[in-house]
Amino acid sequence: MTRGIAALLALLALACGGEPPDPAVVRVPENLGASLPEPERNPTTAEGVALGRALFFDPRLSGPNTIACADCHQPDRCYSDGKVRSIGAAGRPLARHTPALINLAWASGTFWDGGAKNLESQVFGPLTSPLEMAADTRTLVAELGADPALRVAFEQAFPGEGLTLGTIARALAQFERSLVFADSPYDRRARGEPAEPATSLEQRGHALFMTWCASCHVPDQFTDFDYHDIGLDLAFAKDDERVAWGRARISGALDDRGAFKTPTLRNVAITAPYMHDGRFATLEQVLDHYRHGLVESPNLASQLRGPDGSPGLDIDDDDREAIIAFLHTLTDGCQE
Amino acid sequence: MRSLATTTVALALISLCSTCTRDEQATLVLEFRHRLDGQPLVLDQVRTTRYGQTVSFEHLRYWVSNVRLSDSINGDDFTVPDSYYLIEQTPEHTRLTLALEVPAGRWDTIELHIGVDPEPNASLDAIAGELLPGIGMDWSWDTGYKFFRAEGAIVDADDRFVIHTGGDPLYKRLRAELDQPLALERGEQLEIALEADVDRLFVGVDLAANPEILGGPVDSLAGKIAGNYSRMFTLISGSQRIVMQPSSPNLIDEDDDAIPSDGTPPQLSATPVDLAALACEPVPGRPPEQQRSCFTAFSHALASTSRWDAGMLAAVTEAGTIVQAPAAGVVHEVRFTAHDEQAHVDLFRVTIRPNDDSAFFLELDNVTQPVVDFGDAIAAGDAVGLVGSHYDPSFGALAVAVVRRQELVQRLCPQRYVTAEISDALDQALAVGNAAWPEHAADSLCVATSLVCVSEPCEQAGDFVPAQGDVDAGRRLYASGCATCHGSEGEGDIGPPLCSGPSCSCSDCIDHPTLADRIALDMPPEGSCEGACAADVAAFILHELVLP
Repeated sequence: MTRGIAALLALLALACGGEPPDPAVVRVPENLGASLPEPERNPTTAEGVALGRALFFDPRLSGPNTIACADCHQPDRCYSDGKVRSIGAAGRPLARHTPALINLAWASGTFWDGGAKNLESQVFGPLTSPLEMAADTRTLVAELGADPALRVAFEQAFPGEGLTLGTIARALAQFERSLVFADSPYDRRARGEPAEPATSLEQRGHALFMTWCASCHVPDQFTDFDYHDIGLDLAFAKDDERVAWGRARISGALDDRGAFKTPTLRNVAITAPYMHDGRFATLEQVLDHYRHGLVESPNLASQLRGPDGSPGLDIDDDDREAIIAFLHTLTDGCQE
Repeated sequence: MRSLATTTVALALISLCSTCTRDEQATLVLEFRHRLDGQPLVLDQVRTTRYGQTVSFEHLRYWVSNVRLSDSINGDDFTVPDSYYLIEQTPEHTRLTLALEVPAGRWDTIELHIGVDPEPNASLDAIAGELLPGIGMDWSWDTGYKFFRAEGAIVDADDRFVIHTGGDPLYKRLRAELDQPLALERGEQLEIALEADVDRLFVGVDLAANPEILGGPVDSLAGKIAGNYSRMFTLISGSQRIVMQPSSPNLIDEDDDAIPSDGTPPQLSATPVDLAALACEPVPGRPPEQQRSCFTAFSHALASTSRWDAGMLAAVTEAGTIVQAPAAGVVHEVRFTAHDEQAHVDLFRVTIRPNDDSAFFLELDNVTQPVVDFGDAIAAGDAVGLVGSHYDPSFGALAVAVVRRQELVQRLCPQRYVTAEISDALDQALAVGNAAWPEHAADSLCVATSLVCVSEPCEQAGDFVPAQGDVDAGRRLYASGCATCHGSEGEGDIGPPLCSGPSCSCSDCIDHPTLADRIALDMPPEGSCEGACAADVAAFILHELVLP
């Protein structure tokens, strides 16, 4: 009888997850928010983040065992790769540009069109795409499970669950969520911490930024987490399951054709090239696009129109230089 | 400490057992039988469906989830835990049988779902049962599972068809109430067949014109397909054959059998308008495959419904009640059910009932637009009526007319087209209704035109009189602004030809809103033809240039 109860208690303990993992120390700078947003079913833990980091660099996740997440999301480039369009397992360029991974915990949808509803689900996009990592989800768990150390790490990060396809996604999501960066000169000044004072050019650039850019690139996330047509194209092909449609591909609303996610401008100076397809190599090109390169279309973001409805930002070359100087103050190098 | 833990365990055991009145297990085997053209579905075999498409399937796959048994006598209810199954016929794998461990005893209702419920559908890491991302049954770039996937050849059009459906609104519940309840003995294995009439998949779908149906909302072709497959299953248990009835658990209240709150069964036995008199004639000059069958008035089908004997006109007498005119009999709802007598399934159902604010709305089951809100268009004292039709399978349209005493209920006519046949038939319906109930006579009517063609993009757009846009104005605008590139007859020159059908490059020449939108957005010079201009030109193109 006693033994029976003991067995039941052991079962109960197992069911409840035993010792809870240590909470991870993901420091959230005060100008980003009070705490790290995270889903209830996947709380961030030190073990989970460490495991996710290991998986992020592990080429065994890919079908041919040659490509890791970090090949395209390189830490020293703020988890981007500097390429216009990356090349994955299929040996040909992807449809869109690889974005930097910065402060994703606050993002409401990932991919350039927000199609992934959460970071956990997002994992399966690059993981299973034949163009990207081409993993076979039917064999991946067994393949990784051949590594005893990895099995232990999963059991520690997800007690009672261990290594499953779901926990692979959750560990990667925890790591991505831990990529919180807000240690640029701008941030230190914003928080009143010791920092070099801003130059007069940077100050002027900051004021211009607030006038011309901040309606979408809202400080201090420097994004509004929304989707806009910024006048890049007029026609949008239906090919490839409407990948060129941007947000419309997800929302189904024709008005969203050509609208893509507002990227954060944190570390923008070191994460060229720009736009969802990497078409602009320099910040000068980006700003010149906003000045006089906008393609007029009914979907064009209203923020890009002047009081008379005409498109384009009314800034001169000096203003452009000042804004770019300010954007450089958003660089912290994404060092953990 | 130890005694506290023991108590906790004991409580946990007690609470567990309070729900398990049946602790003896049995096995329920569900066998899916796919049938096409009256034969078992064999991959790569060319068959012609009842609806005229000649096809062969390369594969057929769908998620079956949340299988539930219940018993109306003792109130028991059991959902098979983690019940997510991939039913499939593919070249590599065939899986058509589920063996479910269920409590023994009496069960008289079986439910299952096609698709994946919203929670795991929004979180691909929340993997339960057989759910698995990355095997071609999810959209990794637009989080969610493909609920149903079928691909193959359209033999007569020398093309491939690709059908993928998904999205929470298309998660379908199928339910069968058994005449002879299951009586499962402990340890027994009982087999039930679920016969899928795969022909039904294509009801009202012009596959040749729409070979790729890649997801979409309720009012898209994907929604149409989902509605079709949710009506294709017949449960066979012993000698009973029961057509499984669909409902959309995310849109429609489960309790659709509610008796009016005053407890009085509805009595709507007054003489109905003879809608059978509205039989329409074939449309002269149109090829047989484009003929729509006649208006089948709702009253035709009413005899087949068990609970409701609704009439044609109903008077709204006070907030919350509707009385059929002219007879007495207070009801809270009026329902019309159209029934397919050959397939023994309800095609669709229409309900008029007040909502919580005593406004009235029209609710449609099994069609693509579930609710039409009347807002304040109908109020106490109004006479309302409905006529409707289900057309032939190749068209698949539904029209509902709402008759009001005073004026056209414009708000129900937001867009799209009214066919001449619909218009004529409704005029007749109006005349008949007015003669029957002069005190509730209406002088106009409205077709809820948004329901016409909602499930079909109106390939035969030239058949329709555009509901908006001025054809004559459009003709002038076209001649001055469009003909240079597209040709004076739309034959194409620098620009592509304007036409319709599978071989046509004008993919937006399908209906007025789509074409007007395309003209306004994309036609050069930018911004030169928007709003009324685009509407007029689209009306002209559809009415005079684009022929079926």
